[in-house]
Amino acid sequence: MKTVQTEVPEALYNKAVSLVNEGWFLDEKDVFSEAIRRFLETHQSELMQKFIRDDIEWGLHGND
Amino acid sequence: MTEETRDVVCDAGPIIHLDELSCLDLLADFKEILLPLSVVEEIEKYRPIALTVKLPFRVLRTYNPADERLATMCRIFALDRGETESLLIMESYPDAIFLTDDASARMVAERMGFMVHGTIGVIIRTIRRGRKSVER
Repeated sequence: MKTVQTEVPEALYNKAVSLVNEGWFLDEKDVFSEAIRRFLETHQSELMQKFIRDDIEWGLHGND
Repeated sequence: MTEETRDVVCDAGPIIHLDELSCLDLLADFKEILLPLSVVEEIEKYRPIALTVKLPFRVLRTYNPADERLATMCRIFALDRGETESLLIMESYPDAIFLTDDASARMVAERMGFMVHGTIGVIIRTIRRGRKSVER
């Protein structure tokens, strides 16, 4: 959890703490897990497209 | 065409998918294929025949992460044991390429600064390196 705190901008972390204090989440880890889950749900196809583009670029023009 | 190549650390997905496509031999174009034990167990469960193909496999034990950031991200992204142990191996072999078809594992790998690609990249790379023709 301490590592998460160092990686998150303070303003964002404070918002997460507020959500916990308001009783919406069990703890900060819960907030970030939920945020990432939602991100993956909503961006899955965009992510996959990006990964496929990256793979094609490496496949065609990589140097290894 | 360049002869330079690297080690790869492989999650179960690309090995299973390449074997399903009868293309597992494409991995022979890497120096070594480093696998954590958990990935070997996963392949033995879902595609045991893939491990009978003669390739430069090397099974490695994993240890606790040197970088707490990696352990935290693996937990947050709910990576499974195979993905987590693969990334732990990447910590020790940062010049290797991590092969995975899992979006979450790939995101964590990119965040850690590792080189990461999937099955599609391996197939296209093979054509670039002249190991297979476009027709094949």
